[in-house]
Amino acid sequence: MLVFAPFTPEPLKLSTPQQLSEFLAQVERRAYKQAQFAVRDEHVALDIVQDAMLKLAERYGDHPVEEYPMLFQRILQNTIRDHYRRQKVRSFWTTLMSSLTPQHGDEDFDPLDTLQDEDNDSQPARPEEAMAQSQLVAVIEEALNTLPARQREAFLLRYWEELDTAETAVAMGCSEGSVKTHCSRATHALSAILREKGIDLS
Amino acid sequence: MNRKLNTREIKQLLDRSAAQIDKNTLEKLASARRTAVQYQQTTQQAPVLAWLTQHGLIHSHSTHNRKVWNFGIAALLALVLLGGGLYWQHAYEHDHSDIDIAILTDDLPVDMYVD
Repeated sequence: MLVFAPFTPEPLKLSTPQQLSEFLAQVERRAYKQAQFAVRDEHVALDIVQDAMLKLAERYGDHPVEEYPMLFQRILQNTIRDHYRRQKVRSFWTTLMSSLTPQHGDEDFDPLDTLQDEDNDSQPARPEEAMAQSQLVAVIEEALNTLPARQREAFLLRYWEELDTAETAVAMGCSEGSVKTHCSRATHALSAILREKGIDLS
Repeated sequence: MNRKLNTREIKQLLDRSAAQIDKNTLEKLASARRTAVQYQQTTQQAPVLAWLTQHGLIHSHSTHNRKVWNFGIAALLALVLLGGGLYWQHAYEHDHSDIDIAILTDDLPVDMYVD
């Protein structure tokens, strides 16, 4: 005789503010770098990460901590995409308005707006090997910057965040096949760019 | 620069790059994190619901149960509205029947003829 036991779902453990804080502390640097690769602007990258953190806390703050990595990646990628969309609309109106108003040359241009602070004073002086590695990092970051957004997104999620194909597909909101295609193209493109600099990507 | 790299080494280099983010940016990230955590604290559920959740009486984090709760609240609201409507209709009919009886028994008050 079959006896059916009543189904009692195991209660999921709700995350505490401490767990949320620890999770965010763990991912914030990589999230910032990802956003920076995507938008190439430190301030916008910070805004995007802050926005993603708030969305996670506000909407999914009561979810189990195990769900955070995927949720956060999804939110981060969506926030970056939202930025692209807003930028597209803004640039359309800017172009339209600038074509209607007279030009004033370069008087509004301030080099301080675009000047990059390459020196990091917070870091102690490093030996030559570290210097070579920093150069290597710069080369890789430059190569990543040249990739199309979706390819870079797929590459970073797969090889930096170490998500599998299915998880990357969820985070990117596309099929697993698309992820594989983006990753393959990204790897080939990176390989070609790095080869020009004397680096072989295996 | 002649070197061989694989994706794992690229990951390590990117980790290294992330570790070298300047102090100012790190402070801003920490501030954003604190704000997010505060926001989580303020949006957590009311004490009564928290107590019910802790004692297993409800599972408010479950999407399914949330739907059930929403449906329950909507059903309750509909029931109250229906009850109110029926009561009002009943009271109105009652008023009419009083007037009908008054006409039949010729006990209609004088003020009814005023209009």
